[in-house]
Amino acid sequence: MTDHDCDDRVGAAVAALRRDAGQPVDPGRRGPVLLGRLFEEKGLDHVALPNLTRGAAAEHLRAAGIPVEALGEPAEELAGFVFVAGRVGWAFVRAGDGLPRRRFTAAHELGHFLLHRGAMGRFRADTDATLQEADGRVADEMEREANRFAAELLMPAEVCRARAEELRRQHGCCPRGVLVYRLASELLVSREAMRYRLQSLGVGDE
Amino acid sequence: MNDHDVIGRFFRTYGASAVGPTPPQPTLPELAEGEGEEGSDTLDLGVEVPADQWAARVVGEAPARPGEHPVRFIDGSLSALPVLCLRSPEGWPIPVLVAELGAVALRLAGRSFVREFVTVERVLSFVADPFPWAEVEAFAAAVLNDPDLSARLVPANRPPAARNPFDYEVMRAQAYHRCEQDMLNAERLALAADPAAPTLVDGKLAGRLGSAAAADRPLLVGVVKRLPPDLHPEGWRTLLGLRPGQRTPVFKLTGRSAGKEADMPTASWFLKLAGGPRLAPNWGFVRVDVPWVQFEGRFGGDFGFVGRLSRWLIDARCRQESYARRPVSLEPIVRAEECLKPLFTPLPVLSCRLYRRSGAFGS
Repeated sequence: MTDHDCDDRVGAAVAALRRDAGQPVDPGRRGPVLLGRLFEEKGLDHVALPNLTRGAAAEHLRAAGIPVEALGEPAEELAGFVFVAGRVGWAFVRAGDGLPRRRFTAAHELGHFLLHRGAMGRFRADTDATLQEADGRVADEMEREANRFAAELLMPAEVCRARAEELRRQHGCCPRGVLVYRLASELLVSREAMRYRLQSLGVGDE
Repeated sequence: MNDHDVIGRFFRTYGASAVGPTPPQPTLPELAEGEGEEGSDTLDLGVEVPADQWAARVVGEAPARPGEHPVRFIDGSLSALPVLCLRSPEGWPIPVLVAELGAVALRLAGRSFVREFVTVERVLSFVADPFPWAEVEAFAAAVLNDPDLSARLVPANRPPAARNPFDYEVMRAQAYHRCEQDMLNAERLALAADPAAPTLVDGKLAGRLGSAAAADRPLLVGVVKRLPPDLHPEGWRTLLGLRPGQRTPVFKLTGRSAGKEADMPTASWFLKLAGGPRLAPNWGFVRVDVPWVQFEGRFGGDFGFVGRLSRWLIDARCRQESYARRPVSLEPIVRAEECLKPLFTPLPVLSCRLYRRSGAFGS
């Protein structure tokens, strides 16, 4: 699959999710994408665990009455994890991560849930190497798609362009560094993720 | 659920109570790693004279030549107040700050100043990491879209474990420094809005611009009022013995920010603007920063330029007796501040709006 195909597939999934949830992109409305509502819409629960391992995720699921077979090496530390049971699922994030990172991880797991349910089996485990907010060089195709899904969902291109245009209209310039600060806090993402996204979109002056 | 309900529910869930300004603390917390603009600086003290030969230098009367003095002046301002205290899910008190911040640029036109740039923003800041992300995002959207509040949430990071992250004052400082970062960002915008004018910034240059950008611009000057970095004994003796109209030798200063070397080494010196019998020796001087890349390139490492710019700054010193920081202030920056602060909404008005919107304290 080429990068272009991947973008199309991911873009279509993000658009369908927004449509289903009645949350179209509206640059006129400010603030972060309401990811929690999208989780509700898709029947995906989100859980933050202080020490996220395969074992801790399995324990949480069993305590919730979900039958869980082996999820792999119990002590393996994870950055994110998603478990699917029929039409519903659970997305796990690390409670110790900063808020923007937790949102990105949650959006990444939502991406797996929507894009890869057929291919991944009942679960997908992510490490810091696969879950990248600001690096497109992840080797695994599914991980790359989930990262793009999270970026497109949390940092809509239309919003990025609209804010850049607004800055240029008001002040006659749009330094990317300034836009990164403003948009990262408005959209509740990390500055690193925002910088990478604006660079990818070619928005803002170097 | 409408925005009003979302705000109120968040405050109720986390036990919000009204708080006022923090009283002065016996010791001020250090800046959190990665949150503040300061760090340990590296100094090369032997730029103008060998380090062991430092002595006060009298600023001459030669006027600055065209291009050697600023014509545009940038000042940022931040007005912040803790208004609420939340209880995190673990039970720790977390202050919420409401703030207005902005930056202004004045241009010297003949004998008067013209305001050519201004930006003002309203923000709300607290250490948001301990709270569930779904609730914070709903709250952030609600406060930003509420027409009476229109405040952007700038979430501060959880303080590192080594800094007693459960201390209310540490949490407050963390949120305040996060607001300061956005004020710096407003100043960066002011700098970018006119890259063709010789410009003076109130504060240090590092963190506002990089060397590569500075190389392509006309003169940039930073005027810093804070206490000096670690000087050598001759440096301290020279600095504390300066008389009005004198300066220290030039040194090269490479700041550090967030644990790494800032991309803006400067040619710096201390300049005594004011003095007198009642003034303490550690008051009345400012640090002048010029990008090293400009000092070496555009100005050819000429110490005559340093003297002429110093003369211009001394002549531009604030002369308003009523201004508390007169001994360390320049008239254009005082004017800029006077121009910006009236644009801020009074903080008590904002805190009342927040209390009313929250629904937690009656209507």
